[in-house]
Amino acid sequence: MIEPFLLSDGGPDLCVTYHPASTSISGGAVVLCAPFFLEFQRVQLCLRELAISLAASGQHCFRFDYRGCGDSSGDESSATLRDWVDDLARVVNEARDLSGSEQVHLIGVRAASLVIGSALDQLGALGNVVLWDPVCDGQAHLDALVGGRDAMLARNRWLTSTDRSRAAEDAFGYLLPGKLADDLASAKAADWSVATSASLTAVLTEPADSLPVAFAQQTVKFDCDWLPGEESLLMPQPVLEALRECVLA
Amino acid sequence: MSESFLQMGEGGRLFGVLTEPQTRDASKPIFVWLSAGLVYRGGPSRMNVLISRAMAAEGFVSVRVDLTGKGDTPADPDIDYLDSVERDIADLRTTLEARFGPSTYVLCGLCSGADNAVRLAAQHDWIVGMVLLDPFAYPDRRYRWHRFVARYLHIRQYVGKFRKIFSTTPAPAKSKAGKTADHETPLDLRVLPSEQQTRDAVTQVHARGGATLAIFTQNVTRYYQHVGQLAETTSPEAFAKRSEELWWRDVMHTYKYRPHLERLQETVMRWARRF
Repeated sequence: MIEPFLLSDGGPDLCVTYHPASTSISGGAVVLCAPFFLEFQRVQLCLRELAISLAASGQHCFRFDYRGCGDSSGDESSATLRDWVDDLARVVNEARDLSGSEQVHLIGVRAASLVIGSALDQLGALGNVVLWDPVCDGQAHLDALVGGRDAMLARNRWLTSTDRSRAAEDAFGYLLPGKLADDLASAKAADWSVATSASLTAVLTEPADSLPVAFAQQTVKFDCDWLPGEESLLMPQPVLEALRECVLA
Repeated sequence: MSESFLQMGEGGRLFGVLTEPQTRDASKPIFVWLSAGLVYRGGPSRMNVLISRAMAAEGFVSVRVDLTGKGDTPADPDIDYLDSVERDIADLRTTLEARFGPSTYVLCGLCSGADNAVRLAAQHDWIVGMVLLDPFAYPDRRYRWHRFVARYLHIRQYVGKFRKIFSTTPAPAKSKAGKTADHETPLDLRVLPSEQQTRDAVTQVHARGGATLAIFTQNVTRYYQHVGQLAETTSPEAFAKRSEELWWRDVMHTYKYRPHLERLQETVMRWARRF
C-alpha cells in the first residue's frame, strides 16, 4: 500500500508517493525521477509499476512531482531547473530519513537526467544511478520540443492569430517559461560532475548522442516513440526489467 | 486552499486528491474529476489540477480521482469495468459524506470520463451537474446531412484526391506508436453510454435543478457535426434553458495548448457560479 504525503520542509509542498519496502530485508531506498511535460503523463503508470516491483524486492521507493508539476504545489510559470534540483535534493534527504538507509539509488527518465546531472554534487553518497533514455543535450531536447509544438500548431487551421501568438511559452499544454527554457538549453551531459562515486548506467531504447563515457550502457529493444507531442502511455516491461536489474545490481 | 490525499474503499485502494477552499460553502456541490482513458487523476496537461485549485478560490471543494486501474488505484481483474466505476464512485461518496455530510455532486470528465459521468448521472439523484468534455453525441438528422455533404458534396475532397494522384511528395510519416494520433479520438476504446442513458442523464440533472456543460473539440467530427446535437438527444429548448453546449473547433482533444486550457478553466468557472 502506498503512503502519499506532502513534503513541506520549508520549501513548496511536493507530492511524494512512498512505497515502503514490503520485505523485512531492506535493501535501501530508490528515488524515481519522472520526465517533464507530456512525457510525465506517458510514464506515470509504468513508474508506479516499477516502484511496486522494487518495493517487493525490499527497496523503499519514492516517486515525486517537481514543484509546479503533477500534484505538487504551484504551476510551472516560475519553475527553473535549479528549483527542480533542489526538489530532488529534498526528496533524497527525505528518502534517507524515512528508509533509515544512507544508500539511495536514483532512476531517472528522459530529461530527468538533466536534473540528476545538475544535482549530483549536492545529493551526498549515492548508490546506483540508472537513466532510461537520458536526454544528454538540453538544447537539442528543447529544439525538438519547440519544433514539435510549432508543427502541431501549424496543422491547426482553426487557431486564431491571438492564440497563435502565445505559443512561445507553451509545451503541449504545459507552461515553458523563458527561464526554464534557458536552463534546459544550457544543460548538457558534458557538464555533469561525474566525479560522483555512484555507479552510472544508461538503459537505452534508442542510441543516445553525447552520452558521457562514464556511463555503462544497456540496450533494450523497445519502441518508446519519444516524439514531441506523443501521448500514448508506455508500459515497456523489458525496459522496466532492465531498470530494475541495474538499480538492484 | 489546501490539498490532501484520499485513500478510499477497501484497504484504501481508491486514490484521490481533495482540494478544499479555506471556507467551504456547504450549499455548493462537490466537483469530482474522473480520470480519463488511462491518464492519471491530474488529467492531460494537468487540467484537473489547475481547475480544481482555481475553483477552490471560489469556495468549491473538488476531488480528482484515479478510477480502478488508473494512476495510483490498482487494477482489479475480478470486477467488470462498469461495475468498478460504480464501486469507485460509491466509495468516493462514502468518504466525502463522512467528511462533509450529505452533499450534491457535479461529475466532470474528458472522453471516457464524460461517458462515466453520463452513466452515473442517469442513475443517482445526488448528481446535479455534469461537465462533459468530448462526450459522445448520438447522430441526429442534421448530423447525417452534414456527413452526407462532407462525404459527397465537398468539392475540396475531389481536388485533394486529384492532387494526390499526381503528387510526387510522399505522405507524412505516421507516429510509430500510432495509438492515438492528434486528429482522432479513441472512440473504439470507449464504453459509450446508450442514447437512453444520455437522455436520462441530461433530463434527470435538469429535474434535480442542475445543469450540464458540454464542450466538444476539433477531434470529434466522426460523431459530432453541429452545436445542439447533444441537446437534440433531449429537448433542445429545455437544454438551452439550463445547460450549455459548445464546440471549440480550434481545440485539440487533450487540450495540448495552454491558451485552450485557460479558456476551459474560465468557462468551467463561469458555468460553476450558477451553483
